[in-house]
Amino acid sequence: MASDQNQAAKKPTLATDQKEEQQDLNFISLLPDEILHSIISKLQIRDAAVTTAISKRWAPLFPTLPSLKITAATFNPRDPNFNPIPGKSYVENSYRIKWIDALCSVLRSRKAALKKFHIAVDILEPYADHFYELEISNCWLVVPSKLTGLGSVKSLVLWGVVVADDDFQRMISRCKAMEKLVITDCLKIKNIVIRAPRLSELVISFEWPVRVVLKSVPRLVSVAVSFSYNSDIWNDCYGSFEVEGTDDEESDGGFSEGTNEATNLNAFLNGLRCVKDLHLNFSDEYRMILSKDAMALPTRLSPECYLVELKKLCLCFPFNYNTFSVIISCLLNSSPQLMEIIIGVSTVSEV
Amino acid sequence: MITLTSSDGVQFDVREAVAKESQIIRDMIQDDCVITNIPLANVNHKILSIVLEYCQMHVDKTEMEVNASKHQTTTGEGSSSVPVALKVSSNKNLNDWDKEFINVDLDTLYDLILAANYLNISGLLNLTTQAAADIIKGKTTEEIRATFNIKNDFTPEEEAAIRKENPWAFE
Repeated sequence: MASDQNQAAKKPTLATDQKEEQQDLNFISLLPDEILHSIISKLQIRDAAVTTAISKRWAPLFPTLPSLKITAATFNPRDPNFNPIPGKSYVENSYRIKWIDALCSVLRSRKAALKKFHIAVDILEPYADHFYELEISNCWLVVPSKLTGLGSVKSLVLWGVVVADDDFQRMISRCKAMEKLVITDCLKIKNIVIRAPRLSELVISFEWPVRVVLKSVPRLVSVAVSFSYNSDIWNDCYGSFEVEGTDDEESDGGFSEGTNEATNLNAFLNGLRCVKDLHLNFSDEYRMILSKDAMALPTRLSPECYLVELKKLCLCFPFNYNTFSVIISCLLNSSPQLMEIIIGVSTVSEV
Repeated sequence: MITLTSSDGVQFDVREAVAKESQIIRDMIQDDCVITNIPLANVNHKILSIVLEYCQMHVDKTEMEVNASKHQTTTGEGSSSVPVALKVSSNKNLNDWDKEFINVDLDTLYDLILAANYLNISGLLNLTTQAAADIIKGKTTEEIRATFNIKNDFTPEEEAAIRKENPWAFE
């Protein structure tokens, strides 16, 4: 009996009378994952999520969909009395919290990586004034040309984000209330130019060359910069991006052939006037790149750029090199208020 | 002309353009241009005839459009509004035709999905999976099970746990 059923299930192309299908003859469940994925991906997310409860065959399909598209109306209720304003995709007022909860539950139930994740929401327009912290990690980021939100963000953390210089610049320029900025290993960023009236804490950590310029940071108190310039990682990651060749950095004096790391460092040090607490962590690789242009390093900063507020300096270098002793003496010569120096050993240099 | 043979041995003679709606047949013909008889082990004659009806219709429509636009370029400039209108109406006709075409029972739909996937006919695969999605759309889990005859193999606890993962969807 049981084997008869199996036989029938294995030969779905045999036309069967509808009435005979009392048994478990659901051909649709026999379709391969990729076809079922393609069916489910044509559904609204609400309907797609419902399919998880059909049977064990269906349960893992929605959580492994390769792409998701979320809009403001995605989680609106099925309620027939619910009438969104035509043409306006929006999160209905009383459903804002539910919207966030639903998005979280979708993301929490994921069982495979997303190849494509598209959120088309006016950066949650109703929430734009309530976003205080934004942390983005490990993804490609495209910043809309007409970004309107982020005006209330106080803390912005980007970690392993692939974002173009222009997009990055547009994004941080919208963060007028930003007090804390952390940027770690963001591919494609080559220039970080910061104008942030309220910024007090800045953390920058890169494996590859990047130019940091502090233009207008009157409240910046604490700065930590780490350049490890691990050339393997740098070549692996960066090499591939250079090949893409949409680049326009010729004029930016990026860091291709004509890069001058010493000039970049100089420009960075010149923006630290108000900083009280400075951490620098430079690797031996960075030292080697820097030493090519060691002549350009200043022995002291110009008086208007003195680090007049600097109280605490923490240095992690491979110290036994002339290049770094120039930097250290420059910092000491330019910091009249310095109270405390902490010296560490650059971990990379020892290995 | 190309001869396609179904899994149950029925032969169909079709124009090359019609057969080439299928990506795998297109690849075969490109690899070996003298090929004239292609056996299709995974499609029976009933389904193959439906598939070919779809391909025939889509090839005819495309050719009509090409001819129309050729006609326009030879008859002169400035009258672009006519072919655009023609194209829109023919697209509309084709969509209506597709809608009518895909109005089949579930078994046939299932076989068509498999055939479209096997023959790699992207338009038909898109149409058939969309039809399957339309059937699922707006239904509760119970209704979907009933429609497709799917047996609930969850224990009540398992099902409750699944529903709890995305509670908003089941409200």
